[in-house]
Amino acid sequence: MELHLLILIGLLVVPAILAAFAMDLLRAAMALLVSSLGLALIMFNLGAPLAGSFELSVGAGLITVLFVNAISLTRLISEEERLERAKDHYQRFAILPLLAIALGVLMYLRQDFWATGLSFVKHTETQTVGEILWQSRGLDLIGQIVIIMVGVYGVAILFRRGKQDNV
Amino acid sequence: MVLAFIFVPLLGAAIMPIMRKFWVKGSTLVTIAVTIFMLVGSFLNIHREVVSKSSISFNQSLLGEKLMLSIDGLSAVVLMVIALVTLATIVFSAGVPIGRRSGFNALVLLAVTGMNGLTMATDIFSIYVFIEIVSISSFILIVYNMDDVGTESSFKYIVLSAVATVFLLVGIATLFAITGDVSFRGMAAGLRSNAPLAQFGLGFILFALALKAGLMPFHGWLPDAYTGAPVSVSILLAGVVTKVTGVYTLMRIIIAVFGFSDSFSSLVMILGSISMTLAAFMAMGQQDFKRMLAFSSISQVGYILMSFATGTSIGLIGAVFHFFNHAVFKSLLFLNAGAVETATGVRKLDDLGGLAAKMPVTGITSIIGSLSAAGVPPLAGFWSKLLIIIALWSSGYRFYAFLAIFTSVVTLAYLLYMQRQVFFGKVRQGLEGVKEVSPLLYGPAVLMALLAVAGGLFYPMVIRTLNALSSLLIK
Amino acid sequence: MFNLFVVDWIAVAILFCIGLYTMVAAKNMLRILIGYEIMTKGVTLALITAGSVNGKIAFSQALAITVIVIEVVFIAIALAIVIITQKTKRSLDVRKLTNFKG
Repeated sequence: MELHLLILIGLLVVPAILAAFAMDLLRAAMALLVSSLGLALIMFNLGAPLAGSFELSVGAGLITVLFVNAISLTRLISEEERLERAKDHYQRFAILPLLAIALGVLMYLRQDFWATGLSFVKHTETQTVGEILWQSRGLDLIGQIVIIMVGVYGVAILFRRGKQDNV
Repeated sequence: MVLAFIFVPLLGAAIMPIMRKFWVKGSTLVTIAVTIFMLVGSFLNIHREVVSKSSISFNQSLLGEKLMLSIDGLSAVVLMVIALVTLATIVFSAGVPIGRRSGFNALVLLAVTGMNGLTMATDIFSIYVFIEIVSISSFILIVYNMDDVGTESSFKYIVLSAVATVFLLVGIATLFAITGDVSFRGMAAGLRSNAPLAQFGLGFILFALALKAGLMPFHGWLPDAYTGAPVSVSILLAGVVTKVTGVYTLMRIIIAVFGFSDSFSSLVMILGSISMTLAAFMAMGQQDFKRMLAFSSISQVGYILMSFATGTSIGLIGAVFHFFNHAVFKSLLFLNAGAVETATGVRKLDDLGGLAAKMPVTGITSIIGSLSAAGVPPLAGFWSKLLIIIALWSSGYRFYAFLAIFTSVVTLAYLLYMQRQVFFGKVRQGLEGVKEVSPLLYGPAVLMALLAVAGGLFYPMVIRTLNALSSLLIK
Repeated sequence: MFNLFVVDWIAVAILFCIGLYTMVAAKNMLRILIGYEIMTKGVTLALITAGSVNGKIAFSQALAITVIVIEVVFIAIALAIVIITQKTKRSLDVRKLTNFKG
């Protein structure tokens, strides 16, 4: 039980480090995809299948598509810039895995410092996710509608073309 | 009525693509109609609260879903400020050329929807959702002209809001784990113990909101965003966007969830006084018109938060009054900066001069704005600064009270320097042919200047109203 | 014996630090956004864990779904702005963002 939780967390954290580490942005995006997969599996494991599948379809799928699009649209970096970046890239991120391991070990060993006195009130819920979204999180649903409108208008405006209709 | 504050601007934004096809010029008219509706509605709210002495809280249902919204004294004033500054922004932007106007109006309306929702929300997660709406529409508005400066400042704003968002969400997740609820009432009831985790959550939320408000150690993005944005957008950003997403949200969360504590007060006092004084000195060294105003804006946020951190009733009245005054005089000064930039094409203070004779209306309104910002007696800014200083003095923060007085002298100094460089003295070469801008550009400035004067002359009435409102607020 | 909350929050803290470090150390705009994505993954995990320790897992799923939707719109707009920057500047290097001084 505990072991496979640890493996799933490894599947979340290690690709995240790789995403920061990879020189090639396309590989970084792929590492992010794997990390999303790990997150979705953890969610399934914790008993949150709806959020998990949402993370799979939107977090892993859609965001990777967006990233790959943006990377391929902006691949015009000159050769010397690429070389210049190559020089110190790994040096800059070399500290990252050490940082992650050190932080993990430190937090695990010093649990008495940050996780003492934690007593969580166990609530019981009777509603399903859909009922909660519709009945008590209505304002968030309106917010989601507004934010999707912002996204649609934003993309339409940022990629407007042709003569600017000045009126 | 409460739902209208969200749905009317949303509907306005939704019909903009249709307007673009059939009646392009009408889109601005529709937007102005929506903002005037909101202005009248918020006046009615304030009137009703003062008369009935109770806050408006609605547990409304729409198609079977429950929406918890409430308007108390603080949010009623903020709603009015949002409507007022948006009106100025839209009227001003009608006078300058802008690509695809209907899209611009739609985004402004969506940002206003977000701010209205933020003002009326009663739970911390909805606050996060609405903050994101406002921020994302601001990214697009800042980059609206698709130029070099716009993309740069927008990207800086994106990075800072990304960090702020994540910090806010970690704070929310922590508090949700402890209390099992995200509504203000449930969280305040659940936060019984002083567990280290609760302090940690509060710290993360405070850090996120300090980033959003542009307090001094975290202010790096703010002058860039104000300077790089198109003129009409910087009016909206400086007048309401950062104030509502940062300052108002901070006030609301402290009042509704955490309550005042000594450690909070001293922390915000220190951050606020650093922003107030240092930003005033940094404004002194600026050569760019809009950048100077941006630093001045950081300095005024310091005043508002210091007054709020006293936690007394008079401090709260001072903070709300200064919030209103700051929106009035700062958007007035940004309107003047926009008018000067539109007329001359120059923003550098050294390259300007003698414009008072060429642009009389802009010159006079900008003097009123500067004097109100510096807190010179008959104007509204004086009374709110006086209230702030009294609040600081009477709650024992005497050193900070002196600092506030000292900073308002510095404020007067740099704003008068700006006046001298831009509006007085000899007319610079190349500026001989400058004419006063069109009434669409100076009309909102005149309105704001009248408000600054009226707020000063009728201050007993204003303070009585605010007193009636804020007595609803501290229970 | 593992405490679920402790292990998951260690993962959250690690993801948070990786993301923040990436955002600070990266020189490419796209990598900065990848750093933001890493941090958001940590936050989503934090929300779900919070729900699972206090028994409100359905409620926390509702919150997590909202967070994911907002994250997608945020990233879409940010990537659009990055593409525009590439068009105007021919570079994605953040060290070349030097229009403002003082």
